Amino acid sequence: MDNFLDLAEINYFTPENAKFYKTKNGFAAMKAFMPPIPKDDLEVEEQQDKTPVWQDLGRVYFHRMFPFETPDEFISVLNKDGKEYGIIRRISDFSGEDADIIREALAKKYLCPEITKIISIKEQLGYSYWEVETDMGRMSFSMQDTYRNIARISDTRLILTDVDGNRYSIKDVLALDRKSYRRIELYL
Amino acid sequence: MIVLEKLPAAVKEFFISKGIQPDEAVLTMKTDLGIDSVLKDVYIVIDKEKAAVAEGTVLFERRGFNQNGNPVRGEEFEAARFEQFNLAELEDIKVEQLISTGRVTATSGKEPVLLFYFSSTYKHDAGIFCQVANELKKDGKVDEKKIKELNVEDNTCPKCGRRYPDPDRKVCPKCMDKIRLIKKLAKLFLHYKGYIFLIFCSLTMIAGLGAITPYVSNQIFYKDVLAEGGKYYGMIIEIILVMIAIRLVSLGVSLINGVISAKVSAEVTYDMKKSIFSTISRLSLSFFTNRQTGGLMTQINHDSIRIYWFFCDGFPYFVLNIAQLAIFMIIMFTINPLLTLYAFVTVPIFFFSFKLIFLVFEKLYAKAYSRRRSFNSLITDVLNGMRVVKSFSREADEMKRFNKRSMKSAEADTEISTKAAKIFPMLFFLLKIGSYVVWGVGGWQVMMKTGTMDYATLMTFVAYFSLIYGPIEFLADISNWWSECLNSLQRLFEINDAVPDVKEKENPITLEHVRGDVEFRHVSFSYVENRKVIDDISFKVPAGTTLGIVGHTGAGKSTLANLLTRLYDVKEGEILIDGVNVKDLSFETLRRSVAIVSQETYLFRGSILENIRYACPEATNEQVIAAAKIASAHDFIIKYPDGYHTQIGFGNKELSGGERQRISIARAILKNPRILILDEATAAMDTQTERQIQQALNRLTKGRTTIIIAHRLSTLRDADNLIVIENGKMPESGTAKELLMKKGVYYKLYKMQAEALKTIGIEA
Repeated sequence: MDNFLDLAEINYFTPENAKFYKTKNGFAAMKAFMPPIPKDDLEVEEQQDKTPVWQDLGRVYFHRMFPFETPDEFISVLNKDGKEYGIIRRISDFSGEDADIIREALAKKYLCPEITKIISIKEQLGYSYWEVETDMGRMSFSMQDTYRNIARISDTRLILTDVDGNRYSIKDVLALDRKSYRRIELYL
Repeated sequence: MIVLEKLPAAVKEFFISKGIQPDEAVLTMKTDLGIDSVLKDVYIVIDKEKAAVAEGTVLFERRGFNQNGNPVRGEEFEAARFEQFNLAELEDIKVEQLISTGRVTATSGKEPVLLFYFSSTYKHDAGIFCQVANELKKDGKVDEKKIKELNVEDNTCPKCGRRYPDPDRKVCPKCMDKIRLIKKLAKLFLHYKGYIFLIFCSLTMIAGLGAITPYVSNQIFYKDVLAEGGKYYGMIIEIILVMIAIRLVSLGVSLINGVISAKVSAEVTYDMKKSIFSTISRLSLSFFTNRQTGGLMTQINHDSIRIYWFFCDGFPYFVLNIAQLAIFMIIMFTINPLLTLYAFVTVPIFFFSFKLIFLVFEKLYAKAYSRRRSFNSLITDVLNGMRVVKSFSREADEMKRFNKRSMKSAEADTEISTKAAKIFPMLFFLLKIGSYVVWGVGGWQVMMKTGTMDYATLMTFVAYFSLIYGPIEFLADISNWWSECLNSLQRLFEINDAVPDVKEKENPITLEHVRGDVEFRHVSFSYVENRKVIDDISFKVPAGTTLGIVGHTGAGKSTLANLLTRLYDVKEGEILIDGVNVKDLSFETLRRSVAIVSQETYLFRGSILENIRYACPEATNEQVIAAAKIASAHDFIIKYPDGYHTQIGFGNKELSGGERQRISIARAILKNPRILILDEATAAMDTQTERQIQQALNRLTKGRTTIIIAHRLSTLRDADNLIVIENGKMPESGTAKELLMKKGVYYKLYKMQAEALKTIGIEA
């Protein structure tokens, strides 16, 4: 199993080879000790020099590879065109400001209200209208094709997607109060 | 001025206090998310030079009372963030779509700048913001008409002002015009008025006979036949014959009724499906990509049956049951008013408990249904992927997965059965209570000889009483069925009324003879909001020449072909064939003159011959063979025992990828179009076969416009001109030679592929 791991040449970022900072306007950016970034894909072949150097990558984008299972591990670090610079194995490898920057950027990107209470669900003409209490306050939204738009991440975890594409999460559907649970039970 | 959101007075004042005149703005809009990830009211104004963002909360408060004692309400804007951006300094203003939210960013100098956040509800508005801002930057003005036409669709219900739950489905469930719906349906059913009338007649007869039966078998039997001195005393045989006759007549009538119903049912559902299917095939491709097609068809089947059911079974029975109930009640009332009152004491209880139970069971059935669905989908999934399951020897795990879902489905079914076993006996007991009351009170009346009550009358009364539960049960159900039916109706008419995005223009231009000049002028297109797949692409293909389109996977090459054939319509810019905008051309001209062989080949179930002849059913066998020869398909076809009559498709002979492609090329060649698009049409073939086809095509393409899309450069060696597509943009165009001289993207691609050849000892 191990023999192909090093073949893939995955660049893992650690505190030794990566330093995160914020741009003037608060965007996450980083400096990294890595082989020079080729200007485009087509240069990869001809590029000879692979000795790592410190370079300023500027603004970077984060993306969770396993957003539901390990949200704080395996974070892909990308450029603006979605090309990967490398991977953060665990956020906890980093400390202090670096970790804060990563966490803040991820929190912004993955912002998703957590439903704590279901006040009502009304079904009308193929749409369901939800009135819920979330950690961001009271919200109401409508869903189409309710069964299909409730994604079951695990036995207890749900992600709801409304007609506009907004997501709402329920971490543990069994932990909801009895009334809320009975309202949503129909769709499980 | 483009107003996506009218600013509240307090917000207006706030902007004015900051030196911005919202009344002279180019765009005013709103989003709902602050930069601190808190839900807020975010108002945005663009004027000629600046974009201003104010985040905060609009507060409504009571400010004392007026003279009449009514509260005076004021509003106030509590700003938490205010920022202005000079449009001239911003570059690259764009939407960054996040997971469930998004933000608009730009760069100023080299520094990235954040303008505002929004939730997906406002993603459309954010897109308009970028468009307006970028246009303002470009030439200092905004083509309002264009933006309004494209973007500011009316997304709110004109009646109640609420946003439509789904912008693609302009239906406000609150204000849905049910009367209009029923009118439309009535029109549909007027079609079948003869049948419905017949059903009505037969049902009325059944009901009438049903009402007579208890009277004959009780009142007359006990009073006139059995009782001494009765009118028909002792005529037992005769009365039994009468009873048998009544039964036989009602049997005959219900037989006729059954036959008519079966006929109408088949005819109406057939008609409905036919009309829906024809509407559906008229719709644009985007309709299908937005929905699950398989689910769509099952839904339609389901819906049309449900609607048929309601009108051919439900509605006549509804009228019938009401009439029956009324008749029975009148009869009972004339027999014994007091006893009727007693008897009906439990009826409301029965009615409501039945409704309640229906509600519970509806939920249970929905649950069981969804579990069965997930169980079934697992079976289809595994059976289709059996090859993979076996090759990774995962049978045991699949078995476990199957067991788990099967168990869940069984659990739901058991729940229904046990609940039914518990509830229904109780319900019937309730029903019995009513008859106990009738027995008791009636019996007492017979004993005491109060009024006209005697044994025969009591028996008749009881018989009628037991008949009213049927109609009551039915009426308790029908309200649920009615709402389901309305929903089905709505969906059906929605499909029926759906307007295709891609429409043929009124009075389209029909070209008798198409030369084959193709031109793209500043074409932009996006499938999904805020994500341009094609960005400002222009090129020309003179008639009779060959254009090659090169680019990475996912660069947008196939989209260009889809746009030319009008499977989708361009968002900006225009596409011309022989100098005429494709939007003005008749579908007939377009389809006749353009043929596309795409990378996804689809062959219908049937013979190879039928598949090749698909676009041109009148082609002779000679023509089919010639087309197959050109496409290099002939040789493999004749190897099959049944030759051109070999059955292919699901459940029959499975063809390889290369074979399928060759058949689709033959299909396109047979159509003999002026413009031929080959979209990776030879990707699944070996280079030699590809070469053969190309040489044959070269002879064919003389004087014919050909557009070849490929990522293998060798495929494009005969192209007169090449364009390179990268991330939806067109960085390079020209002849192969020019592009090589340029040393740009094409040069690199070329070098890479040439080097690959060099390593195995071939010089390109």
